[in-house]
Amino acid sequence: MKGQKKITFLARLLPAAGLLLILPPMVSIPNANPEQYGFAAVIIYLFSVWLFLIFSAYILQRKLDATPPEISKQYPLQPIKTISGSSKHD
Amino acid sequence: MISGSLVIGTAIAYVILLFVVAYISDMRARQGRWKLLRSPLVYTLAISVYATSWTFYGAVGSAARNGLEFLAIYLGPTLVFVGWWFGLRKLVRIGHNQRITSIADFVSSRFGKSERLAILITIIAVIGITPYIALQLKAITTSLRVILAAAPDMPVPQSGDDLGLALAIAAAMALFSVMFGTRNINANEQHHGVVAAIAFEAIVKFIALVTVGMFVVFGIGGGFEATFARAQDVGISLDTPDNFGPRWITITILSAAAIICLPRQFQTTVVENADENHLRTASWAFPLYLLGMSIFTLPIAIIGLSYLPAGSDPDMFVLAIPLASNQNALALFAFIGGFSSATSMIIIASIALSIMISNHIVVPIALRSPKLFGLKEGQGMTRLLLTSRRASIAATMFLGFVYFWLTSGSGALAPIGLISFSGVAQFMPAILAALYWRDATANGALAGLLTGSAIWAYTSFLPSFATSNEAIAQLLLSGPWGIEFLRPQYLFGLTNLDPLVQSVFWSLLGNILALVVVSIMSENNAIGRLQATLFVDVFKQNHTGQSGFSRSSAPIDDLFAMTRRVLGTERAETMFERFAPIGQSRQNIEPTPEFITRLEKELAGSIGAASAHVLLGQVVSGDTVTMEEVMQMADETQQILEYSQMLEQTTKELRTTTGQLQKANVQLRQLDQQKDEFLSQVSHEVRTPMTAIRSFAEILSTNKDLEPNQRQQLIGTIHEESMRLTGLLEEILDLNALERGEKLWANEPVDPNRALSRAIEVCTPVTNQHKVEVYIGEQVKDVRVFANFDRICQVFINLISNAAKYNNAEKAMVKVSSRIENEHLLVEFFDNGPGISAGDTETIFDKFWRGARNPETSQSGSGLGLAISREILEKMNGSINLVTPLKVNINKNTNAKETNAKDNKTKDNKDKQNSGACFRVSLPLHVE
Repeated sequence: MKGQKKITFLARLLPAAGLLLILPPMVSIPNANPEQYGFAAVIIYLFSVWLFLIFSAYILQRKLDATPPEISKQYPLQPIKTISGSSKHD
Repeated sequence: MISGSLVIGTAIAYVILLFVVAYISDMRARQGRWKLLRSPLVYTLAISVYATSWTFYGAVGSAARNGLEFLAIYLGPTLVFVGWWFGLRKLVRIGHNQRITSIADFVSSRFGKSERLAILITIIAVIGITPYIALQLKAITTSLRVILAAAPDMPVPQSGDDLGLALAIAAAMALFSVMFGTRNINANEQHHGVVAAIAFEAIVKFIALVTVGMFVVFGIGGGFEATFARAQDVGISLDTPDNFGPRWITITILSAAAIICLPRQFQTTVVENADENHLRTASWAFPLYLLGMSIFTLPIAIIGLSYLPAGSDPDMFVLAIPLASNQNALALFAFIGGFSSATSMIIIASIALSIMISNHIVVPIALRSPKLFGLKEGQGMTRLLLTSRRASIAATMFLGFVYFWLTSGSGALAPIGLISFSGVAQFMPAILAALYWRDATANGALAGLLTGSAIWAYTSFLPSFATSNEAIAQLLLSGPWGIEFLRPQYLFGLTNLDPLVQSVFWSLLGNILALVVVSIMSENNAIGRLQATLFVDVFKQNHTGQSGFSRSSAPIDDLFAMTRRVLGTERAETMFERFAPIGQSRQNIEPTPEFITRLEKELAGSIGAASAHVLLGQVVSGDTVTMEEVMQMADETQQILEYSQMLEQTTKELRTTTGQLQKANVQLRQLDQQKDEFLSQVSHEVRTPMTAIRSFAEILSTNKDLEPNQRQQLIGTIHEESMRLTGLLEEILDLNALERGEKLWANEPVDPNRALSRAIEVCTPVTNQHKVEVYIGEQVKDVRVFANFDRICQVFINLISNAAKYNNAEKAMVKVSSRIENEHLLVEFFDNGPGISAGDTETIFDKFWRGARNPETSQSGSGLGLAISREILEKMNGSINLVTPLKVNINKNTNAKETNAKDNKTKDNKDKQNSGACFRVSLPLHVE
């Protein structure tokens, strides 16, 4: 795999990897050894996974090809009619 | 000390500030200054409406009670957003293309614009969101009570007065939402002012929560490490194996579904989205926002449990800790943060629900019975829409209040929220099917939603009323009609499993099963199929931009392009040229109604009326479906047509082949039968002389005292019969060799007259014996045929001897004449014998044919003569035919040329006795 194809594959893989990491048995590992990792180990683990996901998403969205504006943008339509309602600001 | 009037005043000032933000934003939008409004940052902050007072207050309560469980509420949405490329992008793209206004609109649009589906989703959404709105009311009410309890200038509201307070808050919120959300009706239901206000609120609640968190952790707890060190003392357990059991998984799935299915999330993520690329920012920024909101949750819970007096409501720790520390400004800020998180949810949720109610319930009814709503013809729907939306918002708030009242405000915030989550999660199977399963049908979605929401209502929604209703409490305890097996929270006797897990599992299982089974059994209608393609294949559509598309000139080209794809270039051109003004090209055609109608009929002939109507409807009106999408439809239709034509062609070929095979089979069977017949005929022919020989030989061997002349006679007969047998076998061998294609001779120039003379000479004994006279008629002199002399003699001898042997006429005669025709010498043998019946004209050339068994004619021939003659002549490129049975008048010496066939037949019928026969032998002339 090369270039954009690889990036889109990784973009699809990321949520699956995240799910794997936050579900048992993976998530139970720090819990299973409290004396080894300390009490807050599972919290540190979960927040690390979370940060990893956020960081990966940040990197990936920069590498993924942008959708061209003529497709991506929803051009604002003019209001059909503005009715002065109960709001004093109207 | 905090002043009660300050609290109320700050809240009102905050609401006014929100209005100002919304007003300025709307103004900027109207002036076209979109830059900040339509920025990815505002978009992301608007999505953060996910974090409501449930997050602000409830998460801490959840952490205090259930440890890490609250994190699952944020991890599910995180997964959905970091996986935006797979799911959300598609959702947003479709939302843009189809101008989707709500989640009900989305699902109904996909399933053939089904009205029933839209109504059902609206109803489920309203019921499902009611607990959620009640949750916000409860949060505001409780927080107000907590903060006012610390204010000496206000009478402390007793807990029993919560109801009145909640009603007042609900009314204020309704008014607030009406003023916010229904000031105008936009074509695509985007509310720029509201979105800006929500984004502003997202910042406020974030800063408020983080500030409180910092104060709690660093001001009281002495840092994260020290704070967590207290956890075990206060009884928060993080290392129990239950932490990540079925409930963890269930809540993760529920929250992932909720981030899409909650009407307000759908509104902010899909409907209010201005640019698909904003999702890029949201994909990491929204999870980051959630992470920021969650960092302090557990520390606040731990400190609250250790710092505050026992029995304090953990849901209010965020507010109670600053109050207990006499940090009044911080407490006020925390209150405003909680207030903003509740109001943002209420505003967006009620707007989203009101759009659904007015678009899918009020408008369809109004269109059917306009008088009921005072609609006059030609009058727009705008006022009706506004009115119905305002009423819907008020009704939604009121329902929220009723739920709050009926459930007596009891219980924690988080479980109430989870009831809502599992309710709206029922949309998830339909949405996934809408996005990825082309064959999912409207009936399937309907069945799934009905089944799932019914199970949800029984196992999750109904039990929430147990605290205030005796009958429901009894039902929960002992099941319906005392059947414990069907207890709502513990269906099928599964008492070991958490009720939430059970409810989610059974409702989603029923939902998915019904969706799949009914979809398989039913079919989409034409619009349903079109929409399915537009949804499932949204990324395969080739958008080249519809914006630069000029309505006045483009349609005729579009129509032509579409027609060409359906009918093919040639037919489309013919069709369009017929309508073009004389001497001008098709670009000058006016797309008049007549022309459109005509075109639709032409198209209907190819793709069926319904599809043609849909196709043309889309091109002519140009909304909902873009030209490119219609093109794709047309292409698909064309492919299907080509494929079916190919199939037809193949079928035809197969049928032809089968026919040929059958024919060949019949021929083979005939040949096989002929072979059998031939064998049995040969055996029969051979047996007769063999029998004679054997019996005479027996007589000779047994009767020793026979007279010598008798003996001589028997020996003579045996000899004669064995000669006949030999002759027969020779003839069979001869015929066999001829039929196998062996050519036993060389052709050379031959004088046919000499061959005839020779044949007559050979036949003299036979003709004498049968008293037949042989005449030679007109003869072609000095001619050569390219043949074999001996073989020609053989044919002639056969014909003459046959004519002699079978002739029973009184004055039997045979006449032979010859002439030239088409470079062939025709030699004709006439006789005045019994003739050959019309039916036998071909069969006489078969093997062993001997005509009608005539007792007078002995079996002197083998029946192979004519067959052999035909074979011989074919080998010489000649032929032999029985021309016609015709009466031959030899006496008058007429030139007995063949007369026409009709004539002959009548003669033949009249005089069957002695019609005579004529064999014509045709031989190729030798050209030097």
